Amino acid sequence: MPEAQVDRFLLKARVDYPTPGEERQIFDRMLSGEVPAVARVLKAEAVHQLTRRVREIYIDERLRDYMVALVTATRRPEDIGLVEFAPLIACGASPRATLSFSEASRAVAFLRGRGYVVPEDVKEIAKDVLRHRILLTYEAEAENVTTDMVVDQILERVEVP
Amino acid sequence: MAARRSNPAVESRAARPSGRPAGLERATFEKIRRIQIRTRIILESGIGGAYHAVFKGRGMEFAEVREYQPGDDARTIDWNVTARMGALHIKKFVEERDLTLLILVDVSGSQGFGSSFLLKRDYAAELAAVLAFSAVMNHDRVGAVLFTDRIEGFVPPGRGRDHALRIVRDLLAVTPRGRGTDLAAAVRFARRVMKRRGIVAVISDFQDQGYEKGLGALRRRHDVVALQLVDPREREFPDAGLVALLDPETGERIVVDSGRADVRPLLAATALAEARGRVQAGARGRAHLVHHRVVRAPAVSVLQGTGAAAMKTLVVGGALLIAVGPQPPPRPRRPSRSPRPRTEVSVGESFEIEVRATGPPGCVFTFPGELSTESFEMTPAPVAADAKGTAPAPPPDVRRYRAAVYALGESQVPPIPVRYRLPDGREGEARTAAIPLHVHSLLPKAKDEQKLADVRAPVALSVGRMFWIALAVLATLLVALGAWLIARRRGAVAAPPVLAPALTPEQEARRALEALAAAGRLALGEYRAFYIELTAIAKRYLERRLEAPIVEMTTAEMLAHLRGAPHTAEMAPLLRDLSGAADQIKFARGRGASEEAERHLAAVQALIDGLEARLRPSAPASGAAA
Repeated sequence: MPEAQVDRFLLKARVDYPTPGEERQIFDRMLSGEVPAVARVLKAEAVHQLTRRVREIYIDERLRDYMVALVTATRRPEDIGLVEFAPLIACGASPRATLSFSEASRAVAFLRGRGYVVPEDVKEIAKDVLRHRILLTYEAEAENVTTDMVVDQILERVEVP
Repeated sequence: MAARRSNPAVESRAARPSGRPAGLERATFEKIRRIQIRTRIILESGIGGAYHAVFKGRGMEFAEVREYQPGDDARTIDWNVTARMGALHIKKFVEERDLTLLILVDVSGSQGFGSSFLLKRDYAAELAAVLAFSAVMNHDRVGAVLFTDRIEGFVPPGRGRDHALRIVRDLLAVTPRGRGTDLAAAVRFARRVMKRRGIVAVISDFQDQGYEKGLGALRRRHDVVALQLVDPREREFPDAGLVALLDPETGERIVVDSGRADVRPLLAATALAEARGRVQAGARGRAHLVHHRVVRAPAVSVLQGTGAAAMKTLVVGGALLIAVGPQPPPRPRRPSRSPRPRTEVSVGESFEIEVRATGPPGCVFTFPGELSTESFEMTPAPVAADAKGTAPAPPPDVRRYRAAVYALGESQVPPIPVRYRLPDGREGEARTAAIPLHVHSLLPKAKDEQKLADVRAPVALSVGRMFWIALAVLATLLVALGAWLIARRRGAVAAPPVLAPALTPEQEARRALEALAAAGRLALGEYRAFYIELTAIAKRYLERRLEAPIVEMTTAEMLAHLRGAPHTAEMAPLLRDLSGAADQIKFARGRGASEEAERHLAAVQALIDGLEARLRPSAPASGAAA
């Protein structure tokens, strides 16, 4: 898919292999032959309502600055002292990344039962928001640098409000 | 011919200085341009047939059988299927338009060898260029991997002349970081980047081990062509007297008496022969192994121009005269006006040969491209380019060659055959007379004259006793210098207290806290500003005191860090309450309470007190140094 289309995805989540324990659970579940019962938990109406609630979650101004700083750092890593990353990044994250941050961080806060976003929420979702929006150069590919490594470094360099 | 006429435009585009990437030397750019032109000539003149053979089997992959639709080419109708189905069916093939050629080029230290006029590395560049341009002319994609003991560069597959030029440019401009060779790693890398079926050409001298399996695995998916670069002097070492040999990959040096007949076979790279066997084994006969002797290929003459200035030149005049008369077999004769030949040369030394053919007007000569015997090699001399970089056409009756001799004693420039065609259509061949040469070693041959009679080879170059003495003296001096510097520094510290007193983390934090308390934010009800400042002071203090990136941590990360670090485990609860409240006020528009805020201010003070008390006895030095 071209980058511009990939960019439209809110998040790119990495799903790794299950742990041995989880694998075992899958195994047991298959063996037991029980089919999990399907029950309705929410009405569509409720989902809409919850979505509206998420939009009401408050993001402090300094947190907004923080998210913008993270996104900007993917474009100009040398500004936060990551000079060695400058030749590895072909394209930084687009403004869509900032918008996704606003949505995703509020969703995290909501799931945690908070009515406001704290820096933890932003840090937690940063990799999922940014990993598919940063375009690395072939030099980075040759050096086995991944976008996750880039985001990790940026998170370690940008001051938390 | 149309393509050839368009050449000047292409050249000027390639050579345009503004299009030149920064840092690329002009000489390199010249090389690229020349390689391009030369490659075009090779491809257009049909010598490239050998390379084209690589791109075989295109467009024959079966795709599907489907019903005939009006407009389909009637030739694609499959009559067998049609007969079975009772309706017209056609067979479709996918045209593999996306054929990809990946060129792996070894740029390691051993590639920097070349006995006559061309380093193996330059030859590899040229070979890669031929392949790249030939792929581009086929509208195929071409990419390149440059490797030593690591991956030095990767040009992802792409199309177009500019792309091929980029590959050549990268090849010539690369400054390898590694010196050794790790073919296995390069092959692994190729497998990773070549996701679709394609052709992989490996250009190397294969002076490595343990790559057979990787090459075999690569072959399972791709068509692998192994191109081994072998310099003739790697196979057979000339008698050149006493020689110092340097392994460019390890830096090891040995001195060898190549004048001894029992030593020379040892020097003829036995490793090379082994390597050759391995390539074949690894590829299990399916990978083509093409040997390229560095001095044999038609493309060789392109690169000689570089570095020619440093070469010692010696002109040996050879001339032949073709007489036209009643007797068709012409007798070559050496005219007296040719420069007197200098017949003294040393082993491997380059000298020039000028062959001048004279004949009746309208006679057309064809000079040989290159010539070599067991101990003699000759290739066309590069034509000196003028300021504009365009080579003047050589006069039709004169050719200059660059030659070298690789045997000691009496030798000769062999007769050089020149074909001619007379205006009346008769053809024939004339030869120059052999030019006798005396080839001397760079060292005196007599053993007592050498004063080195005991050199047996191969002998590792050992380090003399004087070296160790010098090393010891140097080390003593260094230690003394270090001691003096330390003493001086101690004295300087002891003298005046400190000129510009840098605040310790503790001092800085305490001052900031005082300032914060004095600012009276709480009285004004500015809780938000108060907490922002208070947490900033606490985090900055911790960052400096613990030398950990606390400022870049969130509350949870910070608490986890404090709990995990020595000295601070008990401090964490002090901060938990504060941070929770601070986050509420900072990020959730929470309201503060005066007495709670006072308590938090006190908590930060208690944190500083507690941490200082804990850190001071255990690390007094760090406190004093700060």
